This record gives sequence, C-alpha cells and structure tokens, in this order.
Amino acid sequence: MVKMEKIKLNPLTLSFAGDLEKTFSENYFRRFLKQVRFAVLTGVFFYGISGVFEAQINPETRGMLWFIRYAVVCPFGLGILLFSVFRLFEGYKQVLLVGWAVAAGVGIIEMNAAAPPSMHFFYYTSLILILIITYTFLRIRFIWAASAGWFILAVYEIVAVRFGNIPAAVLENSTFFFISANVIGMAVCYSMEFYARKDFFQVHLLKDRHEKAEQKLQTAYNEVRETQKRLIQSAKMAAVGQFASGVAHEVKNPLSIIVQGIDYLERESIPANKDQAEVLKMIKEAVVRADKIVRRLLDFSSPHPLRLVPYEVTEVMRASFRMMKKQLALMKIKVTEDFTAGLPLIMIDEEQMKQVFINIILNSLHAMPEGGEITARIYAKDLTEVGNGIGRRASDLFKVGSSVLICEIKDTGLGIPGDELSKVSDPFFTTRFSQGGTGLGLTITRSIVERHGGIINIESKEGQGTGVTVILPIFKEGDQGGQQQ
Amino acid sequence: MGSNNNKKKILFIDDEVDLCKLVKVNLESLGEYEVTTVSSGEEGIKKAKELDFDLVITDFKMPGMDGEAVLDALKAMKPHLPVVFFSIYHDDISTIDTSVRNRVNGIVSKPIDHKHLYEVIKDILG
Repeated sequence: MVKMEKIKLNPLTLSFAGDLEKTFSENYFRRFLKQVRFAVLTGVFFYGISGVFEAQINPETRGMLWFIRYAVVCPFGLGILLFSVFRLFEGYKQVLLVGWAVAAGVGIIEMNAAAPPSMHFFYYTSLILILIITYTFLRIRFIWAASAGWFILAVYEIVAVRFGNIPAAVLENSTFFFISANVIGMAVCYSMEFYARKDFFQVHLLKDRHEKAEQKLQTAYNEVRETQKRLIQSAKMAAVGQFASGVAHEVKNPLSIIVQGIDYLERESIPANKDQAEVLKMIKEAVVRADKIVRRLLDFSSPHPLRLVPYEVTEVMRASFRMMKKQLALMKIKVTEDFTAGLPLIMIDEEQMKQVFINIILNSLHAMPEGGEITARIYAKDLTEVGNGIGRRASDLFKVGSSVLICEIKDTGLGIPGDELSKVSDPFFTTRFSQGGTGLGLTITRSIVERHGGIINIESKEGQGTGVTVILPIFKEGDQGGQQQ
Repeated sequence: MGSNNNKKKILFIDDEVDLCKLVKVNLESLGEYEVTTVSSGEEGIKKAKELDFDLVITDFKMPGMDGEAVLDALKAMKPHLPVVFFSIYHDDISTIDTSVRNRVNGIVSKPIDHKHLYEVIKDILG
C-alpha cells in the first residue's frame, strides 16, 4: 500500500503552503461554482419570499423592510449570480459572498430593530438561517465565514443594546443560540473545508505519483527502445560485416586476375597502340578504385587492431589538416584552429585517429563546394551534464564527472537534412554514390572512435552547416579504460 | 637441365586457375624464373615433394588445405624453403595470426600488379 504523505495546513486559515494553495483555490472554485450559484439563488428566493409573510404580520413598516429586501440584499445576490459568469468572479468570490452574507444578516438585524417585539422570533429564525447558509451552502472559506458570522452577531448585540427593544431574557436567549449557531457553524465549515482540502491533497499526491511513475515508465520504455535499436544496429552491422567480408574476398580474386591480365597485355600486345594503351591505363585505374572500395569493406568488416600509445590529439588533428591543405586551399576553405595548450596525452592509435579526422574533414569539404570555413577546437572538459552517450544509461561510456577531450570540427556547409541525419553513420549510406562514395567513411570513423572508448556526435542544420564532436576519454593513472583492442 | 638451371624455381598455389596462368606468364616473361602452378594446397605439397623450389607463393584462403596448413607441411618438409602468402588478408592480424606471420617470408596483398610482385620476389630470391 502506498504510504500517504501527511497534509500540511495552517491550522487557523487552513491554507496550504506555497503554490498548492493557488491550485487548490482554482480547483475548489471550479468544483463548487454551481453549488455556490444555487446557494445564492436559494438565498435570494427565501430572502425575497419571506417579505410576503412579513407584510402580512407587520404591514406598517413594510416600506422600509421591503427596501432592505428588494432594493439591497436581493439585487446584491442577483448581481453576484450575474457576475459569476465572468472569469473575474474567481478573484472576488470570497469578498462578494461574505459581503452579501453580512448585508443579509445586518439587513435582518435592521429589520428586527425597526419591528415590534412580537416580530422578534421571525427575524431571529431568519438570522439563524443566514448563519447556516453562510457557514455551509455558500462554500465560503472557514476563516471568512467565521469572521462574517461573528461580525453579524456583534452587530446584533450592538443594535439590540442600543435600541433596547428586545427584552433582556429574550436577548440572552437569542445570544446563547446565536453563539451556539456560530460555534456549530464554524465546526461544520472547518470540517467541510478541511476534508475538501484533504481530498484535494490526496488526489494531488496520487496525480503527482502517477505522473512520476508514468515518467519512469516512459524513460524505461525509451531505454528499452534505444537498447533494441542498438541491438538491431549491431546485428545489422555484424551481418553487413560478414556480407562485406564475403564480397571483398570474392571480388579481390577477379581483381587480381584483371591486374595481372592488364600487365600481360601492356607487355605483350598493345604497347605500340596509344589509344589501347590509354584504355588499359583507364581499366587499371578503375581496378585501383574498385580495390579501394573493397579495402574499405574489409576495414569495416575486420577493423585494424588499435596500436595505442600516449599521443597528443592536437598534433594528430594538425597533421590531418596539413594532409588536406592543398584540397582545402583549392576549394577556398578557411580553417580556424583553436586548440587548448598543454592538453594531456591520451592513448590513441595515431594513424587511425588521423583517419577519423580526415574522414570528417573530407565530409566538410564535400559539404562546401562553394568554399566556406572549418573551425576546429580541442579542449578538455569534465562532463557535468547527462547527454547522448553520457550518464544516461549504465551502459553509457561516460559518466557525469568523467574527464574527456572534446574535438570539434564545424563547417559552414550545406548541412544534413533532418531525415538523413540519423542515417549518416549507417553502412553504405551515401549521397555521393556517383562520385565514388562508399557510404562507409562515417561508419568506419564511428567504429574507430568507439574502439578508442569514445563517442561521436553529429549535429547539423540544413543550410547552416554541420558540427562533428569526437569525445575521447582522458584516462587517469590506474584507470582500466574502456578502449577495445 | 640446360638454361633452366639458372632460373629460380617458383611454385605458385592458388585456387584461381586463371590467376595462376597469368602470374606464370608474367613472371616467366622476365626470363629469371620458372613458375609451376597448382590450384590446391594438396597439389602444392605433392609438387614440393617431387621438385625443388626456391620459393613458394601460396594463396591463404583456399578450399581444402589453406595457406597455414600448406606452410606447416612445407616447413616440416623443407624448413628453409621461403614461403610467401598471397592474400586479401595481408594486413588483418585477426585472420592471419602473428605467429603464422613470423614464419612466412612475406605477405602480399591481392590484387598485386606484376611490378610489385616482382619486387617482393626479388627481395627474397635476390
């Protein structure tokens, strides 16, 4: 069974602490609005109808009494009814209802003062009725209802003593019953409001728990989905790897025959014919291209083992840009390097990490056919926030608090359309098939980074450019590390 | 024996018969080598028993006896006979184990052109 939290209320005003009071007031208002309207209407009806009896018993003072009933109290009540259709009513509800109850009560006291003693029982009963409706039917908050009740009693006492038309014994008697009505009314009102608040609090708690449970369920569901996606992806990768290896093996042998065959033809049959020699050269170049693709397939299906040595990542990034210098200049791409000095050495395979950076730079290059800018940053960071691959799941490589090196390469290129962004690391996904793209560059890049115990995140906005972030772990002395050989 | 005596003898083992033919033609065109080709490891071992070779070039992945089995058999028979693997797995440690790598005189990658293959052979045979 769920243990309920204890309700915390101000014992006098019954108010909740903080925002809960506001929520309760809104809820209470909506919940009892119809009842309040009905109570006002009932009050107006009885206040009005009793004027008829009054006229029969005491026709002399009818004018003044009717003025109080039909010109003040009843219109006041009807005004409240009318006003209650507006949203503004919510803010003034308590004041208006208390005001109306007090007006009705004081009206009765005035009428009592003006009437002969024989009428006293009539007004006395009316006043009791007003106290009942004030404490219960109108759903006025306890603190307000009690103030109104005691105020009416005080006015009654003052008027009775001042005008002195009530016999002392009757006054004593009626005072006793008014006090009793007030005390009982307060108890009822307190109890009604307390239990209404308690109900609200429990519903609120249950709702809160329900929301939290739903949130937990959603998180768990998302995790399961994410894991399932990863499993499918790794199964897919394994299948693709196996397929790629098979294809590579089958293709390499025919390629060997073609290469050896071209060598034979070059030597034995065609050297004199320039055109045919040119064709052979083209065939050989095509074979080299095909071999490159096959090599990539093999890299993908059986990646090279890492040769990890302590190395400066900034140096690898610099070397990668140096290797691409000519192409970058040719394509009018400006490179800005912003590398923090004195970064710690980390365990990397220099060659393979170079392949990572070159692949990313190449992608940027292809995304900027009209030129542009690449900004490269490397800095150290202690991860403080949960993110993609960081501290979200137990299986995440990084925990919040891990020390990492962040390597960012951002371009001002064409960007990647939203529907393609999730596929860019998929094997064989390429938008440059006609230009010889294999669709394995980013797949291999991701695989290298992951084998270094790192993660790679790609953010892109179509038309605005792409940012690739490689996060690599800084292993402190004694760390076992997450790198896979 | 005649002029053949000056030529180095190479045994080339590969299940791709066409590749065997072309490698033979290309290498023999240089005039320095006499190439015998067979299309399986078993045949290769048989040939090596019958004849003396200066070098054996064998495919690594073949139906039946693979390159490693051929290497074991050859080394058991003629420990000093140089052996070269001709493979698509030239740089894959997970496929060709380091201990196997240490026992061969070279691993060349398919596809290899005539010029590069010649350089590798020349390195070993001088």
